[in-house]
Amino acid sequence: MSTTKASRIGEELWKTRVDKINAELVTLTYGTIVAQLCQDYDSDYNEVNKQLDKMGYNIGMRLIEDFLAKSNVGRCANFRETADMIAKVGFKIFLNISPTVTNWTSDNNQFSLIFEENPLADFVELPDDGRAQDELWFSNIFCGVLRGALEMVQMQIEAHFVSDVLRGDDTTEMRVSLVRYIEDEMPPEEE
Amino acid sequence: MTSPGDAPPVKPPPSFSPTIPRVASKARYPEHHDSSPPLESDLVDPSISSTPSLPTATSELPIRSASPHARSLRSSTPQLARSTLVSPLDGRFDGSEDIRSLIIRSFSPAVGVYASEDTDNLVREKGFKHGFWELIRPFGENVPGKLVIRDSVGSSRGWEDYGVRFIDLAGRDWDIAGAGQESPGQVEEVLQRQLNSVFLDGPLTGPLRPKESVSYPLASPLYKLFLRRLLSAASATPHETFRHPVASVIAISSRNANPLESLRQLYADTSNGHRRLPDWAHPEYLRYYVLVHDEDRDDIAESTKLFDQMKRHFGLHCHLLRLRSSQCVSSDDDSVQTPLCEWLSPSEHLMGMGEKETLVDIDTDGPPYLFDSDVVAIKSLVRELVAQSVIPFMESRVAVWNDQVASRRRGISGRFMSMSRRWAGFGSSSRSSGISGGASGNYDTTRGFYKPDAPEAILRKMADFAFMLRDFKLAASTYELLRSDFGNDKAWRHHAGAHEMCAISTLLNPLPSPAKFKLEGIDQMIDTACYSYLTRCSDSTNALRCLTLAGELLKSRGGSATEDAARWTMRAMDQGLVGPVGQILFSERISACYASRTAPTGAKWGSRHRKAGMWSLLAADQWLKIGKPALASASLEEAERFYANVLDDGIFPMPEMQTFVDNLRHHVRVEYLESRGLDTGENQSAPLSSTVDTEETSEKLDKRNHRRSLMGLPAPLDPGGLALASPKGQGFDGNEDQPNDDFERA
Amino acid sequence: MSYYFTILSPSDAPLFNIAFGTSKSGGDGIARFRFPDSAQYMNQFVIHSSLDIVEEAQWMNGNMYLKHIDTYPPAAAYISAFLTPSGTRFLLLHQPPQPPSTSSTGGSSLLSSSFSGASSSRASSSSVAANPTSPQTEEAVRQFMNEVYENYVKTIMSPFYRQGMEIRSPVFRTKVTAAGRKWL
Repeated sequence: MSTTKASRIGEELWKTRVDKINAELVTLTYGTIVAQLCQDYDSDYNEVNKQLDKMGYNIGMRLIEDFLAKSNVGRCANFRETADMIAKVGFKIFLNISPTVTNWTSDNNQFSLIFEENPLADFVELPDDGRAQDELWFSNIFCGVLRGALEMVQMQIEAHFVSDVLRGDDTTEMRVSLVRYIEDEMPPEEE
Repeated sequence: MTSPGDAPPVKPPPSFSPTIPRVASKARYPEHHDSSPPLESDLVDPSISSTPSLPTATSELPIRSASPHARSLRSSTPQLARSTLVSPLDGRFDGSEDIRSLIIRSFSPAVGVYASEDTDNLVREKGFKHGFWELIRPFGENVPGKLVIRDSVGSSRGWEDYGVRFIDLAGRDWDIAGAGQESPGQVEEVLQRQLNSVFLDGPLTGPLRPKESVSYPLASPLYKLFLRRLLSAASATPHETFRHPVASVIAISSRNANPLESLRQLYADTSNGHRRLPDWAHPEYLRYYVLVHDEDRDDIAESTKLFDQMKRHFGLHCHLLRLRSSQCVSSDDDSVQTPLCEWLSPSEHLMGMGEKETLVDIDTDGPPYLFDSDVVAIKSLVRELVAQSVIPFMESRVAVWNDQVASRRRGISGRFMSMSRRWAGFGSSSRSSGISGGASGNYDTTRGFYKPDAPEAILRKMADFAFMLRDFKLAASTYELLRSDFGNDKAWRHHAGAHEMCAISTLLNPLPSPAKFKLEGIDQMIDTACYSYLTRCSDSTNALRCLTLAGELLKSRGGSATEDAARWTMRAMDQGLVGPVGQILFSERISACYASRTAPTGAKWGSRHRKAGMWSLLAADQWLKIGKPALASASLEEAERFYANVLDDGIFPMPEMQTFVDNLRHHVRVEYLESRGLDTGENQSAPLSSTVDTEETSEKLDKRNHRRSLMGLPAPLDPGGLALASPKGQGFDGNEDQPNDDFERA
Repeated sequence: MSYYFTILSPSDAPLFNIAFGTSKSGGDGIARFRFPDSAQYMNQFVIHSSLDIVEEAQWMNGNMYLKHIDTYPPAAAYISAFLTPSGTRFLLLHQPPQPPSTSSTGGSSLLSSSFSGASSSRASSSSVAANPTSPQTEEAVRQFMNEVYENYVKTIMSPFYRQGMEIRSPVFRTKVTAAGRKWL
């Protein structure tokens, strides 16, 4: 499946199959969660990153069902196709954004998602305590979501942010690496 | 919570009015407390102050002793003005009318005094160096009893506070355009001197204590002194007639060998001799003949006979004044000290006729004493003179001029005349700008006045008469007529004066509904008056008077007018019309203006607490800068009170403000203690331990939040030292949640 | 023209403030107030005192932009106000430059700066920088306020910003500075 096809599917699904809710609501809700975590963990941002990842993982494991049900797409032929599916369909229908897939390694096992826009981070300014800028990955929930979702479709991956405009970087970039395909377990239902 | 009157420690001394503790003035000069006589001496004699007992001294710290409820009275009285506005001038002077009354009284008719040599000699024997004039002068300032005055429409009104200004015709130099002779600088000098003397002599024993029988602590005594001096400028000018004599007392004594001839000679002196008025003053005024009978040396039968003769010759305007010629000393049974003059001109004040000298040592240098019988006699002379001669004379002059001059101007033909005049004026000035600019030709441009019989001059005189008779409506409408005339004639000082007085008489004219009162016209007039005075005539004294009066009268109107009042007062400051002390007094005044603007009932907004607070703080800062920490602390206290309405816990939201206020408090306190000769070192706390109990009590009673911040500041003395409650302090604290109530009650 | 801009919470707590000068007609963007450097607290006092008027105006006027609401004549300081619907107040103190000739008032004290200053500079031109009460100024201030408001809304949406807290966002400060440069 080509990238453009993936984009078309994403676009189509966004228009027809997705119930929309107010973006600010999502933004504020997520922001509040992060802020609350920071408070609860006493600004231990590494711990906050971990918690966000864990929350994302739990979301991702469920979200994949919804995604597959809505999108009705088939199994991806390779990791490259998976990447396009994530960027052009997944992010599209859930957040109406399409991060750019780039920086593939030669073995096609690692890529980057460049987020030109990020609804979760709208309005956000990191606490100016001198540490948050270096330690907190505000949108770290994405990493968990991808990990959880892909695990459900037999891909063990590792994902982490490498830069974030909130920290003053030029781009917001997430690095995704395929660890392995989980062979011994079949997905529950498939076409 | 007890009412202020119930709290024993603050009960006013019996000599004060029954309901109003005059504690605010105490707060201003905190050294003085009726209940702590040792302190006074301690102040008067600096040598004692080197070893003051600390508890007394600290309890005297003005921050503590300033009484909150007195202050609330001060700030709530302006509302009284509004609630009683139905007849605000009806001789009822509750506090808010205090300043208003002062202003009205400052425009009292001038009555010349011209006594024969023998009369003056007789009076000199009694200890009055300046003769007969000096003797009766103070008594003219307050005519005993109620005076009934009829206005132009025939309705009568009684006044309790009427007075006349006796001026010395013999010693008078009618220099032309005498304005400028007394500069605002002199008023400032008076203030400076007063300030300095107050702190040497012990405060509030003299002129700083207002003399009004009922006096709410509305304005600071010093400010009132300022007002009185400003409004007392003695010199007569062509552009207004308030200082032109309305009447003249011509006096001879029973010692005179040739009485009737002397009277004639005195009259001649004043009408065409060397005592006649200058060209610009109307030469016709009432003569009042007084025969001073020497009770100690002369035969009353003789004098009575002579007096009958006088009456036959001179008609009704005669009086027989029976005085004792021997000097009275204070130890005599029926001795009465001569009252002090309230209305001294600044230069007189500076020449030492001020009352302050008398305070230093009353026995040697005070005003002479009089026998009670003399006082009664002089009072009845004054009453008869004013009630039966001066006022009827003025009433009839106003009626005549109104009929002959003013109504003609007001009528259709008058309007036409005024129109054609204006047209002609325009024509002539465009044709030949050299010729006295105006149309009437009545204005003498070179000498700067109208001939006294010119209609303009007569109208002005009539308006001034009406004003002095307190018929402000007639006065306002007459000034109104003149405004454009003077402008056309380019008689700028007259022009300024007419605008000024038109604005002021309009403001004084009681109106049923002040809310609907249009202030724009007033603003315009004040502005024009100031411009003419300042820019065209360089007359800063009158400009200052105009702005000050405008400010005070607008303030007394209440409502939004108070903000105009503040604005005009700022204008006076900005124009540099007042000196350093004046600036501070005006700052306090602006604060008072804003403080009198209160919120509509039930609303939380609409007041001007922050502005009032800010101006009080500025005043405090300035007091401190000129080295008057006691006054600074009074202002500071005032500011705290205003801010308490808007600040939570007395904390300023903005850090720089807080820092400024903290510093100010600290410095005020330190300098205050230093000025009292106190060591401000830390070791003072030991003797305080015994008083911890009282301190706690007062803390508990202290319900006002902002106090806390005041107490908590880091300073040489710990809070215990500060709060160290004299019974007085305690009493005040006990009442402290009341002021706010008072304040809100509008 | 020098500006002092403050954001106050509905309970008068200061959330943000910045001083800057005009960038129009050759201005260098640096504030030069008439108060001596040692008395910069006066800006805060003047602004604080104008809250009396703001409180009143906010009930009389349904608009967010309340225009020029108050003046502190001794220092020719003009206050314009903007109220957010939630009651946060934006207050802009603007002060025309001290005319060179004002020393005549002996202007040593804070209390004696200038009326004349205001009027003389008024005469010089009708540009924003010169006349604090002209319609052009009102409009410029309105634009400024609106732009700041937009940025303010975004700023307070930040999850790490708690209501009533001082706004320390450098982004916001930059934006306000930019708005000032653009409009004032």
